[in-house]
Amino acid sequence: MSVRVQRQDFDFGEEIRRLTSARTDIGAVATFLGLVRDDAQKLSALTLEHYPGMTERQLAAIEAAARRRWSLIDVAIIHRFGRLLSGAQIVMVAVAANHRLAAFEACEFLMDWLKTRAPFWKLEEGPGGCHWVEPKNEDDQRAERWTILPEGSRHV
Amino acid sequence: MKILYFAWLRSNIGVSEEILHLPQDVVTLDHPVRQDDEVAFFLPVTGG
Repeated sequence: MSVRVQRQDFDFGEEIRRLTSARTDIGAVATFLGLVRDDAQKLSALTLEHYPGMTERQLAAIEAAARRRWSLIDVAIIHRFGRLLSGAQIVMVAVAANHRLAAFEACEFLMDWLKTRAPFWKLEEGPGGCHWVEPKNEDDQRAERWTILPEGSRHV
Repeated sequence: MKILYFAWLRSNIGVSEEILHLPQDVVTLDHPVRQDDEVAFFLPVTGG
């Protein structure tokens, strides 16, 4: 288990190697890598603010929820904070399991819950100044899907 | 008691935290609020 909240960048490949090395029972690793997106050259930087201490606790709680729902071998969650330029890595989630279905589903669940429950806030910088990113209804709806089934009822 | 402000709340208020001295009898529905508590206003989050 590994939850890290850090300012510095991370090495995605190295994190996956760390997750899978010295084990032979892992059959699948599903990953998500989130980047600072600038799709219309409107964004010069993104600053992520967070609630130190609480953020780590929330991420650990989200991981624990995933482990209750799926049979997982290991999980790595890394989320950066501070000022990031476009193209920079923001977040990675990697889930190791015996089989792919648990890994895929848990990875999606972790990102859906992270986006709606972990205390991070994004400030976008562009040519017109700075503004705080508004939460998206779509993210809430995605996270809500996982609450339909009671926890523990869906072990893969 | 320490009060924390984040994101646009902090921008609008102009400070990231404040110390408030509470009257002795402040309580919420199920938890007494004490001077050494920390209160944070949890805005809808936008990480990931």
